Amino acid sequence: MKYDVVVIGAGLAGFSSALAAVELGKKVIVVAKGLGNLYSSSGYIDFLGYYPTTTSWPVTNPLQALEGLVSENPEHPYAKVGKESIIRSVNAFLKASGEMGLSYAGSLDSNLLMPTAAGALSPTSLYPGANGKDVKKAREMVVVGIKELIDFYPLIVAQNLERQLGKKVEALWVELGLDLGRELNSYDLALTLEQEKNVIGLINKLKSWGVKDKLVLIPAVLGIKDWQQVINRLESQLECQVMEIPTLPPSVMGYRLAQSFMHYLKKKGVEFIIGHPVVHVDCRAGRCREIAIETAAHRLKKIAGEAFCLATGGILGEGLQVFPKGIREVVFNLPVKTAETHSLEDFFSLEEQPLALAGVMTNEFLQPVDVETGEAALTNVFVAGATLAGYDPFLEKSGNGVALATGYRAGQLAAGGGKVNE
Amino acid sequence: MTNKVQVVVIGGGATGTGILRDLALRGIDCLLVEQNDLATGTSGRFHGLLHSGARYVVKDLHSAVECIQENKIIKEIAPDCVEDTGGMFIATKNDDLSYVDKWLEGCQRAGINTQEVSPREILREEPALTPDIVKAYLVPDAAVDGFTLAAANALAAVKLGAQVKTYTKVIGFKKEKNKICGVYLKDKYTGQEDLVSCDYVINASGAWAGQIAALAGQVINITPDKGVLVIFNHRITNRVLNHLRPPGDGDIFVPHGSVTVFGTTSKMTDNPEDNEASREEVLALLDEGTHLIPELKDIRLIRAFAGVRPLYQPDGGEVGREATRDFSIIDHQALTGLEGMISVVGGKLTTYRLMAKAAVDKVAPFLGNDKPCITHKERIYAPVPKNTGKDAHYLCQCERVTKKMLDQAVQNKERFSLSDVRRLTRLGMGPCQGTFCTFRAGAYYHETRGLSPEAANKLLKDHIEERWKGSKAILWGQQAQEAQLTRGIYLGLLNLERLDSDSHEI
Ligand SMILES: Cc1cc2nc3c(=O)[nH]c(=O)nc-3n(C[C@H](O)[C@H](O)[C@H](O)COP(=O)(O)OP(=O)(O)OC[C@H]3O[C@@H](n4cnc5c(N)ncnc54)[C@H](O)[C@@H]3O)c2cc1C
Ligand SMILES: Cc1cc2nc3c(=O)[nH]c(=O)nc-3n(C[C@H](O)[C@H](O)[C@H](O)COP(=O)(O)OP(=O)(O)OC[C@H]3O[C@@H](n4cnc5c(N)ncnc54)[C@H](O)[C@@H]3O)c2cc1C
Repeated sequence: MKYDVVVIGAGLAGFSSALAAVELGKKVIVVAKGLGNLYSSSGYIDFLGYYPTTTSWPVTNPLQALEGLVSENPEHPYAKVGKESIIRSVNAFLKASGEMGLSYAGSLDSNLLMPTAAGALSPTSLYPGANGKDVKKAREMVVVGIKELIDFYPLIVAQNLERQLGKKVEALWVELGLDLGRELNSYDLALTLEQEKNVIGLINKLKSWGVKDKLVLIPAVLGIKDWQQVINRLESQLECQVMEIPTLPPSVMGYRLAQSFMHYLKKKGVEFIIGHPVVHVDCRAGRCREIAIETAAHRLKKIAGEAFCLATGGILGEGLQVFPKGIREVVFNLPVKTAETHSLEDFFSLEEQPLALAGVMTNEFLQPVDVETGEAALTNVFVAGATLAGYDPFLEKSGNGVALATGYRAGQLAAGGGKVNE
Repeated sequence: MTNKVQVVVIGGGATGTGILRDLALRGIDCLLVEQNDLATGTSGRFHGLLHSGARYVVKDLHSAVECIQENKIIKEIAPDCVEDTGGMFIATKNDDLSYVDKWLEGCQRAGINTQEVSPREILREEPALTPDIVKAYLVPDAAVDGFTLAAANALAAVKLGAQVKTYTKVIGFKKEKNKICGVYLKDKYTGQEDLVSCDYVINASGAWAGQIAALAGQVINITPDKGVLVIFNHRITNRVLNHLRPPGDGDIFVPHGSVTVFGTTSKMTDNPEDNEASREEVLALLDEGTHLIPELKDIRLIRAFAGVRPLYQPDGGEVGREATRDFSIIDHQALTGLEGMISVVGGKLTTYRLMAKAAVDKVAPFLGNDKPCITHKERIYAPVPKNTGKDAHYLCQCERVTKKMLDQAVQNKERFSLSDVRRLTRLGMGPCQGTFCTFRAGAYYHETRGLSPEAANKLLKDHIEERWKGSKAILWGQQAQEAQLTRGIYLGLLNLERLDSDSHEI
């Protein structure tokens, strides 16, 4: 079977590549070893929250900050793709998200400060359906914890928010009475809130507390599929506003995005094979012709393509494997830019961690290059997402943004058949 | 606090807490001071092997005999602190088999039961072992939890009226003529200084014993000896595994709960606080370990650290592995004429009770006390009992820690860190190394203990930093991945690094 574009990796970068390629009318397949990191991450798409990383001022206008970054830091993935590409990826995503029934809101012109499960405020650009809800503007707020959930504690959230926002924030525990004999994580709880009686239970508990006219901050567990309806019901019956706070993994918000995005791409004709690693590649004369995945019975299935997007997710996604000395890129054995030491002294340092900066170096066409010479190692392979070198997503708050922007650009370049001549 | 006691014990490790309990059981009024939390010295940075003595039978028969006697006693009196895993000694085809005969003879002389099992049988029971086994013997080794042991000894003593002051450092002695009559203390949190009068001081400060002695103008020849240990994310074997060869580096694996502790090395150091392991030291250790566990390098490492042995050489004799593992009671009066102080040095955790007995036997007569030691007759109990299984709501899933256990761990404590809690409950010691439970425990204490949000944020961040220290040297393979996940959660998702520093005036 031969495809125009073969995307390796089913995270946000891989999805974004597939979106760009399928929009250009290409025959696309996504192959991946497993599910991507959206299932752990918040579901927010952060573009740039802090720049430089050591500042204590969150970025207010990401687009403006990105302009600075692109000119000052040429090794950063954003600099490789440039501002116009970043904007294109956002527009394409916002449009697609509407079509997939999961409307995201926000823009690159301003960051919104979102409350975290620790009660910090974290700057983000795109977020699901929370349009118009803003903890800075809300007059009265109440943070709601659900006793059955092990990963959310409303009082610390409320008190930390109160200190930063300089206004009173209430905290409240509700117990849904679902004794399943063990603690629940966010995904478990979201499943139970797919059941009508539990939603009614939650509404009744909140009614007795009185949340009218307040902004209710609640962990992101309000159902997996019908969450928007659940929020609408809460808002209309309690006459309040409801905003979900992303929780520790497994992340329900991220799960919703991953699932919706994948269904959407499937409808557009993208094929998926998930669950099998790429174990073999056939590259000759600077081009990749074919990859092979290992299926259940140790059999190899070959997949040929005109062009390939490598979106294997870096160290966490297992696209990069770390050894005591050195780092390996697992699919193509591409050159990896590594650091001498793997770690800094302090975990909470505001300096970028060497291990986060490591990754595959590319040219401006996202083609992998030799670390020393800068020459393209493969001309029809385009690298995207966390596998890229040159940025620390966790400090600058740019993980999903880089995945979206570089993924989209990689997909477009790959859709050009790997011939780069824009 | 009363500012006068009969005896001040310095050091809250196995030895010091053992001494405190022995004193209290004989009705002596006593106080223990420890500069950090209990078992934060070598007693919390060791292998966790309750020796059967078999390791020492060839070179140090006397130590071996002490070990097997104490091994039996500790299993009886401290079942909360011991996991009776049993142990095995394995010789491979590359080992010198003439050593096996010497070893068997030594075990017999020391009174240590050995039971030979066929290589096939042991491989069936312990499939991670190398197929190159030629000889295998079972011995009564066990795993011991040094944190719980120190805490249980201290608790037993406190119930009898003894006092314990943690986070209190000894900074000097008050002498009258040539006799110690008081100890100067400094509170680590408040910086406040204090004097406690006493009739006697027992220096049980392990690798720091030379420093303490120096405060009293005494010289003790302690050679601190550093040993590196690593922790793997699961039980590689069910029994303690020893390499049947002359004691060397990287030849013991001890299963503890859900993990395995492997080591160790032996290297002279001049600093008792030299407790970080380097990447090179870890790699050398792993090379050794593959002789027994061929797949060792594929198993996920979750932590690397080091402890410092308080080796003592009365006459400046052997160092490192050649040095004796025996203990000594140094009578400063006999040495220099200084009255009112002894130092207890050397030894092993396994023989802590014996060391305590010898120390108290020496001191009691000066206090006019002739009661016998009864520490081998009464049980001691962990302050935070393990969850018995009725409550299945875990806050730390790896180590099955419940909210009730968290409550018990901080009972009667004004100040605590999550590390203090960890030592009593094993919170965050399992495969995820605190990635999930640190957040939960920090928030839980914030609410139940009425902490300020600043204090709660600090509690949480300090613990993540502390866990990071142990994983920095081993950031490869799955542990590198886990480290990224932890950063993803605490920085990417929670934005904790900015919580108390961000400027918000948008
Ligand atoms: C806990 C956590 C919270 C986060 N929160 C946020 C946040 O709030 N906002 C934000 O913007 N970012 C956040 N991030 C960062 C963000 O999630 C990542 O930077 C981003 O998702 C990376 O996307 P990716 O597509 O490059 O990689 P991934 O999502 O990791 O996808 C990699 C894919 O490649 C596949 N793969 C790997 N190896 C192979 C192989 N050999 N063969 C085939 N397939 C393979 C994997 O199975 C997977 O499908 C968070 C991260 C974490 C860990
Ligand atoms: C790597 C390694 C592995 C080992 N493995 C084993 C094993 O498997 N089995 C075994 O039986 N033994 C083992 N040992 C030996 C054993 O751990 C030690 O012998 C034992 O823990 C020593 O206990 P201690 O109470 O004497 O010293 P410590 O536990 O070190 O206690 C001394 C205490 O004194 C405190 N202190 C120091 N200065 C001051 C001051 N100024 N004021 C107040 N307090 C002070 C310190 O903070 C410390 O907590 C091992 C040792 C090492 C290094």
